[in-house]
Amino acid sequence: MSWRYVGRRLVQLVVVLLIVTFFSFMLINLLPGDPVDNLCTGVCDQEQEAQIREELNLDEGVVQRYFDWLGGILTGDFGRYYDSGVQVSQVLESALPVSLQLVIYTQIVALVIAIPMGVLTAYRAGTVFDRSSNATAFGFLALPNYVLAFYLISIFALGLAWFPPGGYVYLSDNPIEHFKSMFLPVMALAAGQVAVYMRLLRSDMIQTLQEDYITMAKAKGMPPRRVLFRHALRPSSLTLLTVAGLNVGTLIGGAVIIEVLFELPGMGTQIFLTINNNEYVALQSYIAIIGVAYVLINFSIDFTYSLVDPRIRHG
Amino acid sequence: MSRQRRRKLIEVPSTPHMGQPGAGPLLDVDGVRTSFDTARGRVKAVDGVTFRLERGKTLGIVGESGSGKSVLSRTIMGLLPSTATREGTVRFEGRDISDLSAEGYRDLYGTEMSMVFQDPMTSLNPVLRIGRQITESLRYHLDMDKREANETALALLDAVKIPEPAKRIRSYPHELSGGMRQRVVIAVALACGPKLLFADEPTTALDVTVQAQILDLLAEQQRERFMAMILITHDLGVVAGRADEIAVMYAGRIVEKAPTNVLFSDTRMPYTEALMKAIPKVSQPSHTRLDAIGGRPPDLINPPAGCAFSPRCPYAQERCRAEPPPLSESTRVAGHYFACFYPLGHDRPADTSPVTPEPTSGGAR
Amino acid sequence: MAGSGTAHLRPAGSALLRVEGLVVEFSAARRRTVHAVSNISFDILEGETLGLVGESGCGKSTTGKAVIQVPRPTAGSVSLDGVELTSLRGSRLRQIRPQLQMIFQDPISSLNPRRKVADIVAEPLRIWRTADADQEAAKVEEVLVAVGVDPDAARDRRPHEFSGGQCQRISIARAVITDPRLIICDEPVSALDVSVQAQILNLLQDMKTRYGLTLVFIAHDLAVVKNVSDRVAVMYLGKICEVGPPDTLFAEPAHPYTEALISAIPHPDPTVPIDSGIRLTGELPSPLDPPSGCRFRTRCPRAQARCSTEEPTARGVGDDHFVACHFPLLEPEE
Repeated sequence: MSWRYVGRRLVQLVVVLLIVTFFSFMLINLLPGDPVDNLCTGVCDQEQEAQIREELNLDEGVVQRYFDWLGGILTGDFGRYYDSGVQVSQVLESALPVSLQLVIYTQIVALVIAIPMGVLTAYRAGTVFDRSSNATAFGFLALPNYVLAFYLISIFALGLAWFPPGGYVYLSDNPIEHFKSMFLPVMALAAGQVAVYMRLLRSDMIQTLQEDYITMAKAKGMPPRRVLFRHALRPSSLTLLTVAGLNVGTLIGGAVIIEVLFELPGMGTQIFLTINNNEYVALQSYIAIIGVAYVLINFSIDFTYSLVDPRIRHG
Repeated sequence: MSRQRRRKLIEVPSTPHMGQPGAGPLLDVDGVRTSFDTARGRVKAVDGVTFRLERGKTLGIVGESGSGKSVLSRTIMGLLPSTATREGTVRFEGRDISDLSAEGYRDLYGTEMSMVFQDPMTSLNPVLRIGRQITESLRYHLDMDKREANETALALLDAVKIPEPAKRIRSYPHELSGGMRQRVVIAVALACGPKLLFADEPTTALDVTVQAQILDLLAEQQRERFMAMILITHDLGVVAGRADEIAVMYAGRIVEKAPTNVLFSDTRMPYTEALMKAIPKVSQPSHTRLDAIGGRPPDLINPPAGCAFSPRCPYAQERCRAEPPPLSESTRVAGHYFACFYPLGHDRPADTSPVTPEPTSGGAR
Repeated sequence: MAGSGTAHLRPAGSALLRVEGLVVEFSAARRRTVHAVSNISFDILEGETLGLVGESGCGKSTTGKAVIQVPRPTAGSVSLDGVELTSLRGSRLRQIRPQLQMIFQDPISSLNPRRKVADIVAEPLRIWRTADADQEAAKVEEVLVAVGVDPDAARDRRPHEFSGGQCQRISIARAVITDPRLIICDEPVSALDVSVQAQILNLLQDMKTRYGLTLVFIAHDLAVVKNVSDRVAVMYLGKICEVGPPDTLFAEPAHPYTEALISAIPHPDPTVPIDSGIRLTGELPSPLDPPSGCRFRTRCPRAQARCSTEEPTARGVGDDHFVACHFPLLEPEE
């Protein structure tokens, strides 16, 4: 991987972010409601309203506001909440780690289950094991995660009381309680992903198992476990890698319902609140952060391609 | 064979591992049939094949696509997909290996028999360094430690004439040319000192100058290791100068088998003759009209009744279309077998009608 | 030739196709250039078959495609009957396309699997609507019969219902339906079984006689090329090494590379000893960075200092026999 390549990707990153933030800024302004209404709650006269508008720079044109916001971002200022005046960066500092933890745990759990399942269903394609695994997977896929979340809460939290029904505990405060608080939301999110990943890996793996080099590995006398995991898994994992990577981007701030249901103070919850309260600036900043994460994740997926498959080299 | 003894063979690869005297043939294939169930019906890919192979010898198996030559080798090696059904017995060093479990076969692979595949572009794992692909079987089968396996791999790369082995051992397959990759494949196949090497169209995917190099290399390694080889090809030219014996396959059966010189000088089966005549040869003048074989390759799901070649055979008669001719030995030349009721040159002396089949390749039974 | 040179070209105006100074380059990663074909010249008389032979990476297929302008060559001239193809654009080029047809290696994948045989064969006619429906049907029937495919049985079927040999017959029918001036055959028999290969080679010969075809026959199999060609050009790494009539060239190769190629052919005859005297060593150099001077010098047993500095050009070594080598195996003519 050359520096030229890295440079080119950085330019891409900047362009993508400008486009994403500009268009999302325009879209946010189309949202129904007006932040001033929220602040005044119907008791302002026109003069007060205009004053608030001026204070919040809402009297300027939307394009001008976009560039103001962009200028702030470039100097590390993510803006403030209109209502409370709290710095967006402060909220971000507490919300982003929660979301990242949720996403990372979910991906780990999903992959740890999906990889062996995908490999085994491919190896035993067409058998009862394969078919029943696939049927189960489709079941989880068809089940929306919030429905699954309700079931999980009512069985494991309210019924058996093994896990808390909601709330968040910092990892540094109490690791055991932390993992207990994350367990149910992670399961709710991971179930559908296991199904997707398993299916993806299975179909790529079935193709790989037809390859000559797999027959050759068998003809070398390698046991099935070694053939599957040493010889076949890596060449079969590119699609899985791509989709898992993109899911990381989607889940940061995208697990709105799950975060709200389980009362996790993550990005999803924040986005939910900012939309409700017409907090344009804060919402815009969150979208930008998620955009950066998305592009960076894509970038690192491309990078891992060449680790997984040496034939892919970036020049 | 014990691990210690195996290892010794590896360290001195040029030591011929002769079998115990009078131990019989290395490979004895008897009445092997392999079929596949497909949506259209049952494909009889191999339909009753019997032959023997002595230690250190080369058997060339020649046939066109669909003749069953590759399926036969995979049947012997136990590398068939689960959709296949097989019959008949295969004995390796006198031991019946036809009903071995997958695990049982694994113990044979590498140390007893191994295989070189057709396309070196696809038969090496693209994501593993070539060193790893060689050392893997050394470590697994021969219990070598990492250093020992690496040294052996270097020696093997050197033996298959890969320049700068110390550098190449760290390469990925895509960094090598087709010819070099096939050398690596051969190194992998030879790593644990097999007694029998299947080479399934080992040069078909290669250029003609590279083909010659690879065939030379296989012959040289075979001599040095006193290894038996089954060389499978569609090209009579490839086996002509390199096999001790040639078996010609058509529609899943051996239709003629003879010592190489005899097969070419005293061809009996019309298909063999037709195959020889159909090939353009550099020795012929330009624009020589080729004697093409009419018709199409046989349908293996509904093979013709009688001799499978009869619909395309210029000499075919009623009997050929009614019953399949057995593979029987010539009375003229011992060790020459053919499956034909009206063989070529039957008017020549010292020939009789086909006798009861007893196919052997000269090994004492 | 293994340099440049045009000594082997026939007088201007006598050839149907005349290619001069053909260069095809592709851009590769890191601003590098693949020198696929580098300054080659050849010509073909009407009714002649030129065999282009060489190993993979020699540029023979690229040359064939450059003749039909797919893709356009980087430099050089390709003239068909005096018309310069490289300067034709848009519809003028499309108008001339029916005169140039191509037959590919893989007969099954070069035919559209979803279309019926009659449509596949008729397609070149439809592009210019030169025939009405009846004329078209009659023409399709005629060419299918000519290639030995039963039109009634084949017309409404699709390619996958046919064997490889049958598909190659259909490809040939499609190629001859426009009465082309020139057909480029790119490895037309290398995917076929021996028994079918002979049928197709004979068929090509018959079609050539019947339709007066002019062929460029590209193949890696020397025996096949010798059999079908009136003139053979041997290529190596984007250059032509040697040109001559097949019988002469195979009996008395003048270029060391041709000699090595011929000696590597396996003979289907055990009484012919395996000639392992002349084996090429080393690897084919990269077309990204071809050797200076003669491109074959890095693997040539006869190479000397001059070969690395000076590119050899075509010289006559016999009747219609030309070689581009400083130290050929035959004495050059003055």
